Amino acid sequence: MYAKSLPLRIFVFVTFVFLLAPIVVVVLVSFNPTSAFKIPTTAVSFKWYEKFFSLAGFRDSLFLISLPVAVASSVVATAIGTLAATGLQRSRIFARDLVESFFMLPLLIPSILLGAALYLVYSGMGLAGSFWTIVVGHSLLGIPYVIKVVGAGLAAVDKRLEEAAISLGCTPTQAFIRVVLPVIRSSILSGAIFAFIVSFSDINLALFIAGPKTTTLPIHIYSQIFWEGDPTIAAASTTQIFIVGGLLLLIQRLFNVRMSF
Amino acid sequence: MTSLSSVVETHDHKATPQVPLWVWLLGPYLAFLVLALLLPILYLASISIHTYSAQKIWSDILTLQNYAKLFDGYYVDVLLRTLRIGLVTTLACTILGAPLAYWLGRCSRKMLAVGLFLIVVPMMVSTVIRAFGWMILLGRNGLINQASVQLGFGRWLNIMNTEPAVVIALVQICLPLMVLPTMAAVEKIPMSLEEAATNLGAAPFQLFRRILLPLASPGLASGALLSFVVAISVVVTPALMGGRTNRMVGNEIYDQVITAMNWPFASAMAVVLIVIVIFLLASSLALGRVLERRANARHVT
Repeated sequence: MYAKSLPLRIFVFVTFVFLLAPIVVVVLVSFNPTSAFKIPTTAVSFKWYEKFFSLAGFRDSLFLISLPVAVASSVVATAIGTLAATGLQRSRIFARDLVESFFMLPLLIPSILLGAALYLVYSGMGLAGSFWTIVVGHSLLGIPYVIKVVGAGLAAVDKRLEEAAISLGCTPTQAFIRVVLPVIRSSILSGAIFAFIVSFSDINLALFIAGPKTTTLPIHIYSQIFWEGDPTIAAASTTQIFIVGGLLLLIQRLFNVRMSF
Repeated sequence: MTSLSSVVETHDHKATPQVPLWVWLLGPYLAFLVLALLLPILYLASISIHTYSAQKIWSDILTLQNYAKLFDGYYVDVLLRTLRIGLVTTLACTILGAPLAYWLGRCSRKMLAVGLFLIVVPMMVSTVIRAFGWMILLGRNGLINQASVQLGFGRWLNIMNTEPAVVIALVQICLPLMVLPTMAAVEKIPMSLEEAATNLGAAPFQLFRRILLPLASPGLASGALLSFVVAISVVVTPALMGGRTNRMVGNEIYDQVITAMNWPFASAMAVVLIVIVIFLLASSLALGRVLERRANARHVT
């Protein structure tokens, strides 16, 4: 009732400014022509982007590590997560609520603890810092998102479609693969994109399990901030912001307004 | 219709699998959770009761020394600071997040799409980039001081490397985690309830206190839990915003694991963090049940 009242609107506006300030600032600074951290007022320059793509440290962390890790984690998380969401939806299992909360565990366990634990295990096995160990950790973080989004998609499927397919001669498995899966295609894609983003922007897990040869983009940005670099950091960060923002826009188009939260 | 249903039945007879379906569906994730989450954390917990050794990192001799070390003044300070920062952050998120969640739960579909996008994008951008943004804004030579100098007020802002700087950055990180579940709870409150209360003479504050707050409290509670858990387990944010003097448990764990290689002690600190998180999860589950029951009771009466 009070959603249109002026004080509330002002409060909401200020909160949004606070929420967006650190991101907008990074984007603006990346286009400034000087080596100071300033907002460009007279001229816009792309020189920090040129530098970003010419420095092997930045470029490799994006194209050879962060993007491949995110794609691999997304594929693994989507496969396992879609199966689990289907299982939760379709099979009669004991204490479904409890199982569902157990499945959200990777979201509730602080990722630095998961990172530290995985690092200790991997070091014991002599695997620390390899590509696939990061993929294992990142898939784990992505699966709860896939389960939520795909689960919401499955819940919205009209049961009669599947019943019709079965009465027309499909086995239940065929009916699921040929009728239900195409209907929930966009939820599965949204889940995959979420898993990609979670991996792409993670730093807490990578801080522990990424090695010197598997430095992800956030880790590289972090070390550059410590070395007090130039606005190349801002250009690298802006690249990440645009990739994440673009993908979220895609999810909103694919899925629905509520984005399944 | 009768012929069709008989077709279904014959299929049911044919498809009697030996392994139940749920094993194929839930099995992979269950196995993954056990192998990549539960066992590693148990392994970490087991290291915490072993003796540190400079040559082998940890030896077979069992000890509680790692936990005793946590009672050193320095580590008590770090733990208290961590809990204090978590508490202040959660409180600030509640105050900022509740009105925003109410607005999102009540605005038009179009505004909701825009609002959610503007909340989820900052939430999904890496925390290191957001800390970097705050450094550009709040630093000694940051944008706020630059603007202030140009306006003739001088460099008055000197907040970097303090606890408030850490809290500011953490509130920005945790705010979406507070807003999203609270918004979902507000959406479930029927508009007619607000109208009825107002028609019966409830002032805005009474409406908030007697109707909205009790009904939205399950959402607020889960938002507060998520915010607190995230706020007490950060590494990058205090490292960049707090300098050397405002270290949190996450920083100590990171240094002990990676730099000092004292895994037994790092594991002991990690176990303390896990115990805090489990305690909070358990009490929030219990609290959630109570709040849900109260909310339902209110709906009925």
